[in-house]
Amino acid sequence: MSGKGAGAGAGPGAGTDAGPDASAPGDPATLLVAVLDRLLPPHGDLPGAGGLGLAAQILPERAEGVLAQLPAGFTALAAAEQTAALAAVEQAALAAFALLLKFAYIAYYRDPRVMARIEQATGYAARPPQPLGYELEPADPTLLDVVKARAPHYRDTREVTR
Amino acid sequence: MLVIGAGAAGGALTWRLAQGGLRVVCLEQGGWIDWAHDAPTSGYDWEVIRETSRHPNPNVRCHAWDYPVADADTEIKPMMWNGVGGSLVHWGAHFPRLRPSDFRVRTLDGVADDWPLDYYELEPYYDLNDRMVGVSGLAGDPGNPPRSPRQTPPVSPGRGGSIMARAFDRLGWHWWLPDIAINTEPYGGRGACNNCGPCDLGCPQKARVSTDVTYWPLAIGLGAELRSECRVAEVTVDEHGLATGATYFDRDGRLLHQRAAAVVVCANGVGTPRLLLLSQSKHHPNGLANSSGLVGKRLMHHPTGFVTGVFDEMLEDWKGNFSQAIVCQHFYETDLARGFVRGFQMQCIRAGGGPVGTAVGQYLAGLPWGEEHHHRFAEQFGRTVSLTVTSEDLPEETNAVTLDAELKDGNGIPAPRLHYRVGDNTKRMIAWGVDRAVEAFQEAGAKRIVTQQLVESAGFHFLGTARMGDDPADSVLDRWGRAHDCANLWVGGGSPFVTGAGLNPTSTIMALALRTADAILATAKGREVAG
Ligand SMILES: Cc1cc2nc3c(=O)[nH]c(=O)nc-3n(C[C@H](O)[C@H](O)[C@H](O)COP(=O)(O)OP(=O)(O)OC[C@H]3O[C@@H](n4cnc5c(N)ncnc54)[C@H](O)[C@@H]3O)c2cc1C
Repeated sequence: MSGKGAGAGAGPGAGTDAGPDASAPGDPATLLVAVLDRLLPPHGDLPGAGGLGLAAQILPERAEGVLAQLPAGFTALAAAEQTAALAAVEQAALAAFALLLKFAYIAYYRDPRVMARIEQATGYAARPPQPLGYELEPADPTLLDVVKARAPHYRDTREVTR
Repeated sequence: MLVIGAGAAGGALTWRLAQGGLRVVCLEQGGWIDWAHDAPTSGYDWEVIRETSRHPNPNVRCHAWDYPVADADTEIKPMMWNGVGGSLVHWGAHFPRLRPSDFRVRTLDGVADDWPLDYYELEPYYDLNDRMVGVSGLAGDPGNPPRSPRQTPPVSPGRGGSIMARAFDRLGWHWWLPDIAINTEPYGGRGACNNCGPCDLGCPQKARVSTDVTYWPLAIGLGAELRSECRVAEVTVDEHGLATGATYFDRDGRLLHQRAAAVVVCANGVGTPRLLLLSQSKHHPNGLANSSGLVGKRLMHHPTGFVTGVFDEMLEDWKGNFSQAIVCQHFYETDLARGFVRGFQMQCIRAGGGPVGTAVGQYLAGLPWGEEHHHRFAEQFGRTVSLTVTSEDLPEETNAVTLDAELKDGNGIPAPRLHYRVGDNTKRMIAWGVDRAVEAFQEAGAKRIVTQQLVESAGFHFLGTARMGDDPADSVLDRWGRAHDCANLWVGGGSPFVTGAGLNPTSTIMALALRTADAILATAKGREVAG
């Protein structure tokens, strides 16, 4: 793992002898905001997941496995360096990283501002599937022309004796 | 009569018995869902609920109604629901029938075993069940035996399904609009589908069939008693080895006994062998009805390969029932030149998921985080179509349900353990099928094609764990679903299946359950069914 600055491509913070987060400064909430901004960076006019204030929606136990592995000074790193440090943590702590990522995605795509953006871009309505459902366009009436024209071709067994 | 399990088989069978005038009590370990107030798709958190408390894997959702399933020794993880309606609470409702050849695989293809009945014997029960629950679709598929008119018109294939249909046509592969147990128009006092998508979270319109909204209200109306949140611990027997009823834990944790003249176990392909293995006695030292040693063995799934095409065009893949847009059974029958025996179906499905599902990954892998993320989301969301390679598994005795030595459920009852490896024939079949699906997506013009050789979470269909047969030495049940070793014990569900076929099993499970009910009724009226 990237502790003791051995992380692949880790930035200057990792290059110091600071080790993993046991000695890292910064409160977990601030750290999580920075992490979320790298996982789901700003997009168009929307800030990243951290800037959207989604850190508060993530239970501490779902983030701590990742935060504990970050190099000291993570928040002060440039974006590309933070990304590299996170990639190293992902390598070293796959399960903890996957847990945080899943709940980061859930918080992000459940956010009304993100939902509104998706609606604008794709037409996917920013509402639950029920009770309105969706209009599914009817099939082209000619769609079945080829298959309907085939003769019966299943393997019949009426004459088959065991 | 005592029925254990209120799922697909238990619901259909209890209705038929009650209609025939028998007094039936059903014990079901889970409870009811009130669809008017508890439909996850009506809230903004539906995708979170899908990943957590309504996950189809009982080991993930860990509901009080569930029992845990030891799954370290299986390549395919278990998916089910434990409550009134059974796994139909989660299902996709694709409703194909077995094909005639499925009942004769030994005679036709020299593998596995023939069933002790054939398609034509089951056909009236398929028809009866279709009328009872309501099936949308289109009769007249030349690739299958003629079928009675479907109760409601077919579901629209949507944009993605139509693109794949045209591609299949160009390749000369036969396809059809599938039978789906979802109302496209009101039927049976239930509403019509409004194409909301995540059928697996249940249907507040009650358009999608599950027995809690179809057979159970009718059965209860006829006098059947359904006791929910009552978990059976053991089927009890008398000094002659005949079933006397069952002991069960009620919702307050009290251990009670229900007496019965006959017992029908409909606890699904995992719960049924578990219960039979738990029910050991002097007459049945290796578990109830297990003199053949086959209870729990020959577990079959439908090992599934999965191929997804991502298209440039916006396909609105969130619209419409997820499980099925069109179905292709072109490669269903044996052609040894392909390098394997038997075959598979390709279900064309709309499995894109909502935004959370797209990002987290469901059938398709999740999206990468970081700078690439938003681009990948835009490229993929709403623009996918998938093809399953739903393969026919062959029965092997090493694939089995046993009792776990340590793991227990909330009542302290030993949990089942799954032992399962995908066989070589099946692996070759899936690999070949995945190549065909890739070919279809290339023909259809997909921009990116993603393949998976085995979907780990496709453990929906548990088959073969108490097989039917004529010979008590190599089968657990007779041709009616009655135990060879215990004249008043019957089994419904996927367990009686002799072979797995290469398609979804539930219309057959329900048809068999109705047929078993008729055999029970005949027996109860002193008209023994022929052996
Ligand atoms: C996500 C998902 C999608 C699916 N999609 C499809 C599809 O598109 N098409 C298709 O054909 N099939 C599909 N299936 C499979 C289908 O749901 C099953 O084939 C069907 O429900 C099996 O019927 P059954 O009666 O054997 O068991 P179930 O319906 O599972 O019912 C068994 C019942 O027994 C109860 N039980 C078990 N043990 C005990 C006990 N000890 N005491 C009391 N009660 C007990 C359980 O709680 C449960 O309610 C799907 C399943 C899942 C999970």
